[in-house]
This record gives sequence, structure tokens and C-alpha cells, in this order.
Amino acid sequence: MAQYQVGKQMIYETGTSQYQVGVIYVFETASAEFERSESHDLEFSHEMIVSFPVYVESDLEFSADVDLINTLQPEVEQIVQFTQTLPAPGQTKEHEAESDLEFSHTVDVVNFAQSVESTILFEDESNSTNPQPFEEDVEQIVEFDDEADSSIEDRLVEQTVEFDHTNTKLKVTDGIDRSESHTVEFSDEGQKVFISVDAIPLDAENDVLFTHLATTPIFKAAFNNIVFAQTADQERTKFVESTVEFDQEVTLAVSISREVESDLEFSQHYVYEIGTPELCFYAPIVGSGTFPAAPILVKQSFVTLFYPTVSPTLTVQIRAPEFGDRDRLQHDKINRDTRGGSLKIFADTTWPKLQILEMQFTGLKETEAQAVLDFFEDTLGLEVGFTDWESRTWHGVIVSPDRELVRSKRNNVDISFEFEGELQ
Amino acid sequence: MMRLGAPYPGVEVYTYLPDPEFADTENSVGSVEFKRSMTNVRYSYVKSRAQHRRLSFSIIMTRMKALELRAFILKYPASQIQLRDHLGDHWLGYITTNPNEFETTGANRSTANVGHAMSRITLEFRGVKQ
Repeated sequence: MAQYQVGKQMIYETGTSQYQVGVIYVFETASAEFERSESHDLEFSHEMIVSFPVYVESDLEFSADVDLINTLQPEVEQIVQFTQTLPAPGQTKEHEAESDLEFSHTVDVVNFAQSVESTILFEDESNSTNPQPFEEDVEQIVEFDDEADSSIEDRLVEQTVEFDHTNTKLKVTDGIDRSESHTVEFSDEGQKVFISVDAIPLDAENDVLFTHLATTPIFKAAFNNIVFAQTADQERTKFVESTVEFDQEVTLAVSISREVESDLEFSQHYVYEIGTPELCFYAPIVGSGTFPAAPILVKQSFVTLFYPTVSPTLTVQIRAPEFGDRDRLQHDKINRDTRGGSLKIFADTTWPKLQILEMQFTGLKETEAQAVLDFFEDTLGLEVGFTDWESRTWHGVIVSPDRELVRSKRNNVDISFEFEGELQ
Repeated sequence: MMRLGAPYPGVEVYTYLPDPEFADTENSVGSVEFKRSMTNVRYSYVKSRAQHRRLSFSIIMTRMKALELRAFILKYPASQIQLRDHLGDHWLGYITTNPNEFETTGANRSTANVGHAMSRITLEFRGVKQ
């Protein structure tokens, strides 16, 4: 278990050697179990998946068996509450919620009964609160279908259905939350004034189809409270059984699944110092990075210009240049002083890096100098090859073909040129 | 002996250089500009580069060490660099010379010098002492 901070230097002591870890560069504070190895390649992958619970499926089955034996005023109360959170405010997304409510009411009267009153109160209350004050349209359609079948004569059965629908929407001044309440009340009342003995048992089916469609452009939370209460009053009843079955199924037609993936990588760098550094040889201390290997130099007393770079057909060989040759590295980079006084330098890896060799050759014979000039003329602007005095091969162009040759002494010609290329 | 480390903060390579020649320089990079108003009031405009210094030094090194420094500059042309100078001070900043020019100064045929030549480079470094 380790915890790192950005830019923190750490020093580890192992035996007699002291290893200075330059920087452990971590972009995020993290805790992880890992094992330090020679290569010190550490990759950390962090994947985070977040799913928004937009898809809501609720299968609710509710059944209640109530056996009444000379019991007055049974009450069954159910509160169904669900909360839905939309992905983000400001988006209009229509949701359709279908709520199929099947309600069956069976009243079995074994014995003689008089004046059985069964009152069913069904109350549906829908509240929508929105923290954002804006104009919203709430449309609520309630369809109510009540069907009653009775095997006995119609005149003996009186059934009264009362339906009360109250829609209240309160709009207050902008900036204040507003609330909306929608109350549906209906009552079903059946009275049997007189029932003959041969009419028993009596099955009464009462199918209630309730469709509730609420469309709100934006809402953060919707509460749907369904209160179901059943009240049975009887003046004189024997062996009355009342079975109430309540099924509710809520299905949201919208299913949105979102995944968020976060790939986090952090790298670890280190470098160390051991013993006395070498000042003459090519001996960089390379820690976790890579560095070009030391070039192998084979000294030779001449240089070669050739064209083309592959299978050359034109070659000029002259003596090695004088001391004082220059190897120039030029980079395209941005150099800015910030307002805070700090210096910022940036260079993209794809930006040009010019490598220019500037050399001067003396003591050439006239024919050699003329051969060089001819080579410049024949390969003007073309990529040529150049093998330097250390047997290293470059590919590039002669950028100063117009340099003059100087006849400094008898049979002694000096010439110089610049070569811009890349080391192969 | 000088030491260059890059890239900062994730330093992964150190390269060591011999001490620079005499006449190395160090100066502040802050600047001040004076203006005089019509009423003969003098105003000074200061650009403060908090604790920034510009170091300039010329180093003569073997051919192989020059190639090492050349590879270092090629690899980290714009990276922030840790510098430990010949006085033992630690600096953090950038190499600001562009282009960087290696000049072959003469021969050195000692066995330690594989390239049999000596090179000189003049570097300018701007940074803050740590």
C-alpha cells in the first residue's frame, strides 16, 4: 500500500547504495497494492461505470384476504410510492406510465343479509414538485370503467358509483417551488335491499380499469401516492367474507443506460546515482526512461558525399574537415514568460528538429574542389547522403550550394558547406 | 562537475558534464523600464521574474561526452531540467539557447577520448535556484 503525491521526491536506501528517486509523478493520489520491480512499469487502470436508474420497472402485486366474521369497518391501506430521477434538468423527455389496476371485489353472503353496504374509497394522489420555476404542462388522463354483473334481478341490486376528480394545480410566483396535486376519488356503493335465499351465493365482479398518464416536461421527483381504503358497513351480517385482490404493474417505457469509463494511467520515474560519474565517456545515468545508446565511432580521414542515398551512382570523396566544424541543433519551440514571472517552454514532439553540420575543408586539389561543386550542382535540392569522418551516415540536403571555393595557395583550394540532415 | 537531469518532475536521465570554463555568468532576468510624464514625473515599470536567474557557461568536453549531451538535448528539447552546477547549487529551469551549437575545438588523443577530439558548447540556462 503506497500513497504518492505529485512532485514529491523520495530517497530509498538499500544496503550501501543510496537511490534517489527523482520524482514519482502521479496525476492522482491513489492507493494501490503493487510490487516494485526492475522495470518499474506501473500501469493503473481505473474503470468506473455509473448507471443512471432511469429504467424503472415495478411489478407490484398486492393481495389481501380479509375474512370478516362479524367485524366492522375493515380497512386496507396501501401506499405506493415511487421516485424517478430524470437524467438532467432542462431536457424534455416524455414518459408514459401505465398502471393497470385490477380490482375485484367479491362479496359472499352465506346467509341472510340485510342492508349490506360496501363502500370503496379509491384515492389517487399525484404530486409533482419541481425546483425549477418554469412553465410546465401536466396532463393527466383518468379513465374509469366500472362494470358490475349480478346474477340476480336488477331491481334487487342498487349500485351507485360516485366518481370525483379533483385536479388542483398551484402556480406561485417564479422562483418559488410550486406544487400540484391531483386527487381522484371515487366510491362504489352497492345496496341490496332484499336478497332471497336461492340467490345465494352471490358473485359480484367489479373491474376497475385505471389508466394514469402524466406528462411533465421536466420534473425532478414525482410522488404517486395511492391510498386504497375499503370500508364495509353492515347492519346485520352473518359470515361475510370479503376478499380484496389488488394488482398493480408499473412499467416505464423509457430505458436509458449510461456508462462512464475512466481510464487512469500514471507512470513512475526514477533515476539514481552510484559511484563517481564518468565525465569522458558516453555514460548517462538512465533510470526508468530510455536513452540512445552510445554511437560507435570509426575514425576515417575522408568524408563521402553520395547520391542517391540508396544505390548511389554519384559519389565524391574528399578529406576530412578542419577542426572548428559545427554541429548545430535547432528546435522549434515556444518560449513564453507568464504574468507570474515564470518561464514556459513547449515543443511538440512532431515539430521540426534541425540538425545542421557546418564544415570547412582545406587543402583540396582543384579537381576535388571542382568535383564537389559539380556534385552540388547535380544534386541541387535533392536528398543526398553524407558519410562523415566518424563513419556515421547522414541523409539530407546541402543548404549552401552557393558557397565559393577559395584558392588560398598554389594547388590548395578551400571549400565549405552546410549540410542539414538526419543521422541514420 | 555539473549534472543535468530531465525531464522534470519525472527525472529519468542524468548526464554529467565537466566544470565550465571561467567566465561563466549569472544574472537576474528582471527588468525595469523608466518613463517620464509630461509633468516630469518619473514612472518605473518593473517586470519581476521572481528569483529567476540566467546562467551562461561554456563547457569543453570530450567528443563522446559531447555526443551524450547532444543526445540529451535532442531528447529533451523543451523539458524542464534539473541542474546541479559546478558550485553544487541546484537549479530548476530550461536550456534557453536555440540553436545549440557544438564546435570541435581540437584533437585529444588520450585513450579515454574515443572520439579523439574535444568539443565546446555554450549553454544558457534560465531557472530558479532550489
